[in-house]
Amino acid sequence: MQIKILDDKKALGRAAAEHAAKSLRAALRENGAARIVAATGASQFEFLDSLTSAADIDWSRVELFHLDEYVGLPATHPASFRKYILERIILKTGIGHKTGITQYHLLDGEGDPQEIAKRVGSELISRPVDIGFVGIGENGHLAFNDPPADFASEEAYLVVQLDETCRQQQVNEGWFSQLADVPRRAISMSIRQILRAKEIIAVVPEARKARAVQACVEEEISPLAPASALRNHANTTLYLDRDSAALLKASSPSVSQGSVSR
Amino acid sequence: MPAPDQALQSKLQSRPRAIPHLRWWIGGLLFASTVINYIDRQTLALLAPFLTQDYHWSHTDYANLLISFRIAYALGQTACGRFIDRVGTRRGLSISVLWYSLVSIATSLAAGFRSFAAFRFLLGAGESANWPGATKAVSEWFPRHERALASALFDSGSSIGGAIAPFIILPIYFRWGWRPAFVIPGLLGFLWLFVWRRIYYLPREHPRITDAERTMILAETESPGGAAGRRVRWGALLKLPQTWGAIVSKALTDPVWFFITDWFPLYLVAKGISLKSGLIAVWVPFIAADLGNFFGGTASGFLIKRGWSLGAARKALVVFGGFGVTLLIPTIFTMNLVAITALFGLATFCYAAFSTIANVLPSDLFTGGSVASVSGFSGTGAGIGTIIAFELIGYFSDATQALPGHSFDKIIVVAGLVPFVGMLLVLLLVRNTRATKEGLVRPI
Repeated sequence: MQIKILDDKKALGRAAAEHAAKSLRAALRENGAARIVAATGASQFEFLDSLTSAADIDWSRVELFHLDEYVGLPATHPASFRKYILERIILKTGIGHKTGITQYHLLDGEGDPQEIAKRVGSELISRPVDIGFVGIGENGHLAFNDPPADFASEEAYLVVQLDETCRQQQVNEGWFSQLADVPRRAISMSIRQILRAKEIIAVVPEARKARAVQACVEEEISPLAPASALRNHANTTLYLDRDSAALLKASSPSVSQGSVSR
Repeated sequence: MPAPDQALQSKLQSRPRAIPHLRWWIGGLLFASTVINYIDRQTLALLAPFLTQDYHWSHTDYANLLISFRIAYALGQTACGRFIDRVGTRRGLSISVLWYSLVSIATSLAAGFRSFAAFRFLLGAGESANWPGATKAVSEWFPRHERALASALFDSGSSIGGAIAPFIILPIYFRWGWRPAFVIPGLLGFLWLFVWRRIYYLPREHPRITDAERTMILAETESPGGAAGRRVRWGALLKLPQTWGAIVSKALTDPVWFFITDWFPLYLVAKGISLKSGLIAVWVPFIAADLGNFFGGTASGFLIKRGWSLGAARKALVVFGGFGVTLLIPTIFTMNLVAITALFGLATFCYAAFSTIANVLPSDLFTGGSVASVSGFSGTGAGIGTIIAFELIGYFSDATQALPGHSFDKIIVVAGLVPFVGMLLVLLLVRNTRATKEGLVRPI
């Protein structure tokens, strides 16, 4: 796992987006199409803003999946990840627009979760994913795989229980007004499925993530720190800012300080 | 708190003012197109008493005019459905309304049987695009729990159109003659076209949709399923049990409707009831059908909201309809006008609930690129079913006239059972299959 530490959240978003755009263009050039998995959450705002305004990406040939969605939440709810994906990625880029072919796969949290997991999962595994974008939760979760995470499941999507730390984080970020409003279940891409992407770009800004970053980077690889699984992936780049990297030892292997171009 | 999104904000400000609940305005426009469609096609029927005299047409001549419309209409649905899937709803319905409005206007130039027959054929071909097109529009704009209601809404345009046509056509005829009576209704189409061109865009690119409505629609209508919008070949569509489920649901209900509307008065007469005392009774099936349409749409939407799966919510209404239409059968045991009318009313109500589901099945089951095609198939199926039914009814009612008892008994029994068979077939054919997993068909 490569780690890049940028000055602040903005610089992080820009650098990660530049990296993502480059990989995306390369995949489009080589295969004529690209499949990506998008992450949601407050931590992805700057990154997605930069990425969706990057030049020279033919989004009409990009096929999009997303990591997770709450069970039982309508797409019009402010916290809905489908709403997030639609408004912050799909409508901005025009994915699946011109071709008349829907090139995005949203997890319908209002349907039968097991069935949705199965169906979107079968679409997902039908071809390899080129790039996966992920974040890391305050409790170290990857997608909605809260600790202890299921490292063994081969299913593409799982129906998972959300723990209280994770649910509280959603309230703190302003998506819900109180803990009781946060759904207790979600559909989440499995850890193994996330690791099947050819390349992973993790975008993790802010001080509130520092402890989780430390656990995932420096402690042992364990279901108790779900994002530590990223270290088993051959082509992952973890983008941090000074705040989220604050607890890392300077001597950690593979840490490269300083901003990447621009 | 999520940071305000600059790009989105500025985009919002530069947009024209959003219209809340835009989808229901579009639903209203589809209703209006059905009304105009029916006014245009009713013109000939309303003027028939005068035209048959002016042109010395026999009843056979007149029947042949009707048939030239029917044939074009039945076959046209399959062709137009495909066409609309190809060019899109906006262009497809624009062209078809333009087409049949021009034909309606041009009918004023007709000079005799041949030219009337030709214009009727062209009218049928153009008008046949309405149901596949409106069904596709509903699939593009309405979430699944509102789809049946939206279908019922545009469908009810046919009865409303039929009801108001006399009030538009006949005054024009009495004042200015028959030619303007074809021209003026044709002009309505241009009025509609003007509004349609302004209002109909896909939700995704609509300049006047609210963000909340667009998100709600896009999250529902296009997710999940990567194949949405993929164009499937006719042959491949016809191999799917779901396609046949959609076809039989319409082919085995529509004929019953035409039987009820066209033969009910004759049935009363055959029972020895004078039409004078039964005049109000003749209205009952029409009112019951409209109520049944909306009942079917509302009830299945309600069930979906209650957490029923889409398939269960649709099939519940199909079962309701399949059993309900059998209420026609007990009418053979009574001569009482009130009892007969009540049973016909109930049966028609149940039929209409079933038929609403038949209309909405193509948009439930198929993805963007095939909705209108499958709706077209089912329209053609219904057309063929109706023609067969008419031949059979004519044959049986003549054949049994000489026998003791009532000439209609057998027909009534068959009419009461045909939707029941349709129900069984729908239950059998409409299900999730491998094609569902492959994304050719949507899960139900």
